[in-house]
Amino acid sequence: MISFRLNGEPVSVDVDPEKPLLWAIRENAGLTGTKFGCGKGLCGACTVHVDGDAQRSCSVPVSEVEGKSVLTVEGLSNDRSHKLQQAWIEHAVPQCGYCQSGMLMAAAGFLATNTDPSDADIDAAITNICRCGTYHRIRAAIKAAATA
Amino acid sequence: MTQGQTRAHKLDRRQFLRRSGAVAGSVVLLQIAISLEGCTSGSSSPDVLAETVASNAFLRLHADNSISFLSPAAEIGQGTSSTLAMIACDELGADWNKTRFELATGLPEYRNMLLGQPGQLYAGEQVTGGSTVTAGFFMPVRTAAAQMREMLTLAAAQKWQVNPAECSTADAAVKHVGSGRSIMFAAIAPAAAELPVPAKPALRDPAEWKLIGRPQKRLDIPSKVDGSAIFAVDVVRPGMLYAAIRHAPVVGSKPVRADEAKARARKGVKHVYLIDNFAAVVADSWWTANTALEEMDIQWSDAPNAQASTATELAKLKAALDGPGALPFEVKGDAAAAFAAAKTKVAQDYDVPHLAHATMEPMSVVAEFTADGLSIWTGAQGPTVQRRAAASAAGLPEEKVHLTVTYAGGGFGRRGDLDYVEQAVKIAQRAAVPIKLIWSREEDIQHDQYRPFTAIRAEAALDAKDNLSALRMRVAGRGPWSDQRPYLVQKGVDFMLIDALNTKTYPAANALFEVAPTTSAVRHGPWRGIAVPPNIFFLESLIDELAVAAKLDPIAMRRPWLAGDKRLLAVVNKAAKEAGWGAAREGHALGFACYTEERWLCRVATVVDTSLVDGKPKVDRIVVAVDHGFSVNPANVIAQIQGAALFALTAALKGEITIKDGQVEQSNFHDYPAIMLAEVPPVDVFLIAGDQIPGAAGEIGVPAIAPALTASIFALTGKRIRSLPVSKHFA
Repeated sequence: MISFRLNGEPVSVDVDPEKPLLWAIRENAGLTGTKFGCGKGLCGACTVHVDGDAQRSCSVPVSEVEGKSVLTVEGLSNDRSHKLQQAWIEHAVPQCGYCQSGMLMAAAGFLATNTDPSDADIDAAITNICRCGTYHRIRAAIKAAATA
Repeated sequence: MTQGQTRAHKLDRRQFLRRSGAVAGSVVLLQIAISLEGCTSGSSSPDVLAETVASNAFLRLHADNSISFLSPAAEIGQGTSSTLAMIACDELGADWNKTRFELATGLPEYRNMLLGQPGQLYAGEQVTGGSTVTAGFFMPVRTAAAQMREMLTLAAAQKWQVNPAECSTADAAVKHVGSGRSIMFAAIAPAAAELPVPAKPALRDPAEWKLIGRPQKRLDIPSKVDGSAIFAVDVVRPGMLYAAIRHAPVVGSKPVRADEAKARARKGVKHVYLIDNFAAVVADSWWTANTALEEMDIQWSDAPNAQASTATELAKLKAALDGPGALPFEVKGDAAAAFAAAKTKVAQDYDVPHLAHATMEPMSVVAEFTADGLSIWTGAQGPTVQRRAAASAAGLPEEKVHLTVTYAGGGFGRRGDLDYVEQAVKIAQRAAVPIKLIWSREEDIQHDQYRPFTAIRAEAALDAKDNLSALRMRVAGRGPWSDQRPYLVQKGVDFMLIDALNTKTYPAANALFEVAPTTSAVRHGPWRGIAVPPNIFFLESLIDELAVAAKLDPIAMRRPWLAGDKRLLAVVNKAAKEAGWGAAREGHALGFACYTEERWLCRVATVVDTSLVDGKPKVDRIVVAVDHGFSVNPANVIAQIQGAALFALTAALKGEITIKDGQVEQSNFHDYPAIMLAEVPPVDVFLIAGDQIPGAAGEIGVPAIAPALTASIFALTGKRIRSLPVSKHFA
């Protein structure tokens, strides 16, 4: 049994300790906002926060978060009021939307470390993939959220 | 998916049977009621819905005066669900803030209006493809909304005993101008439902439009910032298990045996199957199933394709270009004579590689056999075709299969294919429980239905006055229809290989276009724009080389040829002006390409600005000028064209699927990379509004990017790239 906090709530899962956190969140905890994209930590669609740090949950064994605090897109706010969610809506960022949960979590992790980012800072920090090509609006929304 | 929606559907069925007069067109009512039940899933707001008080094929009016637009198209990121909802809301006079959409299937009204007419490619089929949704449904959706508006208006006028011509609708209410009386839609809907459906309702004067033609935010955006949007990969059914698969690594091979005991020894594994050309493991977790597959040492049968490589595939293309047997598909004038008399001519071979779609959501589908049939959930680009394939795979009559369209995590042409749907059906049938099949990214990259590896021998000639006197092009390859729809290949000519090879952009008086069909070691399918991006790369690269050979400015050379197409000339001039053509900055070079897409009313011109960084070209800016007719939602069109530019830039810069020993060599984003934020240049889009009906948007931003990029790289470095991607020339 592996226990951790998920969006503030205690959860315990009885799974193979090697099972990636992504699949524990999706299958065991039933939160499907965190997406599977590549399974190798390459695309970032599965990005969540572990004790405040943005991590690619497809490549984190669930046993590594024992006793830790995990935040997913569902935990950013309960009413889309997080400043990044607001900026995402204001800038109409998503197209297909599949990468956006991970983008938001990567951006939230980044803004926690850099409150006044330049374009170059954003470019260096956000390495998630979006195949629709929403990148221009992602950059604008992160900058807007930083000053919100 | 929610209880509220289920209840709404049941209520709606009753409403439907009672108020069947509101259905546009004549169809068997019972069939409609059945097919509508549970037909929608991807919705912009999954909230509990108020009772439906009026409905037709495209619209439901609810008791709280909100409306649901029933979208006939998939939502693959292109935003047409919201675009069409804007049209419906505006024409009806409903409240945009109380407008939602659902992804619908099951009615003949949802057939593709531009490709699905009798005798056409997708006769009678509901298909999202070819950038046809907004153009095709603009009038049908306006008509359906106007029918409902006229019925509501007439009912209110009769109630008030006034002339309906003195009444109007806005904010979900009918209003009488003279008396100031007003009644909300829902209040008058019961009376309206008793009225006949007007066959030819008057459409609203465009001057009254409040939404159409003005930038609006897409309705699905809120659900895509909080994780609540439901994709096929997210669907959960009671008792559901997860399936992962491994395809035979080589096309034509099959699984022979596997260490099934080893797979079953892993905790959570329930079933192991060897089916057709794949092995499947079913488990209580997708990760468990996928991990078990890696451990079970599958043996595959030999297949002739195991000898294939990218080199042997290229040799096939070159042999086809060199050999006899090419099939002419357009012959104009006397090309041979024009080349003999030419002042300037160029002749080159070009090629483009296989490309994978790499949608962010790998292929995903849920299949569930029920007491009375089969239910499928997937982000379907071709729901009627895919439903038929599911029925066939299950051995069930088609009417026993319900297909629910979910949001799709990208499509690019891939999500109309049948393979993953058929696989899920076969696995679920064996496992006898609901199954969620998810392809791993490796399966997705290695077993795609790829954009074809295509080569061309291209020649162009200028006469003494620098007019384009002749084009001669022979394209070699295997088009997608040759694999997917061979009955559409007429006399050996696969239209999806030759599309855009014509004299529409440049009216050369002499032309010879030929196709030399080949075989392929991997399967091919439609990829955003299908044959247009490769062929515009070939044609525009050739024209750019012609300008260099003639020592002419590439745009100045083209302008006289475009005199007959003022719309194309206008976008060419706009792109040139905005990009600063003719005033290049130190260390930068500009490249240009344009094209005409006559079918969907589009004219596109693109300028790419590059510079050298560490000896490699860097894209600094992309300018795109577009006339695609009328833009219903200009904000969404700009997003589509920007996104298409980056999608095309990814492909042109680094997209390449290669084959060794019959197997695709790439497997994930480390070796089939996508562009990331740090590489994204500004993409400035300029819409030149036409006053026609809406044209295409999703694909038109793709084709001109690669030729403008390589023209720019030539201007910058003197290196002419005739074989994509760019990356292999700057290793």
